[in-house]
Amino acid sequence: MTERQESHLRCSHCGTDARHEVVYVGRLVSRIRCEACGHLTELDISHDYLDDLARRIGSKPARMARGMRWEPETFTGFPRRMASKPLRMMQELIAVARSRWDRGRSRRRGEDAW
Amino acid sequence: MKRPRRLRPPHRGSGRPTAAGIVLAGGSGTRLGAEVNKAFLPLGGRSITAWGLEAMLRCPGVAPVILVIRPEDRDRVEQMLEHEVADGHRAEVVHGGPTRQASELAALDALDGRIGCGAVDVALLHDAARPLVSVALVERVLERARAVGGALPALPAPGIVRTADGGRTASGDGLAEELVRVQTPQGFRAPELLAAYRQAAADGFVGTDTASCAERYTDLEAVWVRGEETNFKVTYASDLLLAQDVVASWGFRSGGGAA
Repeated sequence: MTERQESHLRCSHCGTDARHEVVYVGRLVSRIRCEACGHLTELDISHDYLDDLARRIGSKPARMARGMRWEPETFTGFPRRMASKPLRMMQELIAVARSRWDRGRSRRRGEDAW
Repeated sequence: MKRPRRLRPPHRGSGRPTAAGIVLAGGSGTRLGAEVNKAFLPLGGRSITAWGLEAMLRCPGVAPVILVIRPEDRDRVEQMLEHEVADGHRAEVVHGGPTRQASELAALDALDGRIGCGAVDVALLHDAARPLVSVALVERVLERARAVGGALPALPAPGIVRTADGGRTASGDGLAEELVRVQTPQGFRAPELLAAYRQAAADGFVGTDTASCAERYTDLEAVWVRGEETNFKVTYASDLLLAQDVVASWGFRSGGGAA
């Protein structure tokens, strides 16, 4: 799952408290953009993502069992989530590949990257 | 219908007073559009606040645990307590005020009866923007606060120099050895702290942190205990990345765990 959040943080580049866009892939931050100065921090999360994905897959049965136990009503949406899972996984993988590509490009340009 | 959670038995005290943990997630500033309170940004699959809150909940001898929030974050908080925090149902949610100090007073007011009857003897106030606090640090602060009256976690601040006119630095005066970087949770004896906050509110005094209010309005002695490098505050965008590295190294489990 890729997710965008906006929040006030202090920019590591211009030092101002400003709204930042934070992009997550799975549980990991892949990029942060300062909306005041436009500074973009990109991460190559490909290695961490694979570790995280393995953990998520490993814990999935337990998480599903917990969900069924405590919130059986949420399982009404289970077939829909199952059906959309391949698409969501594909979006994640594209975002990870993009983070790797963008990070390499930033390095080549000598730009700031984590 | 939602099945009720199987609750753990309530905290069975041995008659001894407990410490109250107070986690401040009120944040500051105004939100625009879809902007979320920094304290509720995801970090390793759960909110920044969830990490510190869970450390408090896992600390033996800390009960109740109060989470101070802004009313507009209520829905997000309920979701967090349900899905992201082990034993999240044990946290009591209180709406804070416009300033950090007002939020702290709101939490202490919520504890008034328990402080008054002696059930709670120490208050530990923690900033939700410090997600990586460990259970061990909470315990150290609690132990010293109970023994002395007040305790603050802090780290020596080598490399800091005083600036003089014209941006020059004035080093070599020994000041650096006396400076520390203060962290949270800050612990103080609860009855004195509650009285201090009420007096500060009456006087219109606004301090920078818990210690400044306690120093001005109480006679409590406060000592510093060694903090932790990982207990940093998420302020800069890059802090979020650093915190992510730490929780990834913990396997995305509450590592504070490592007591």
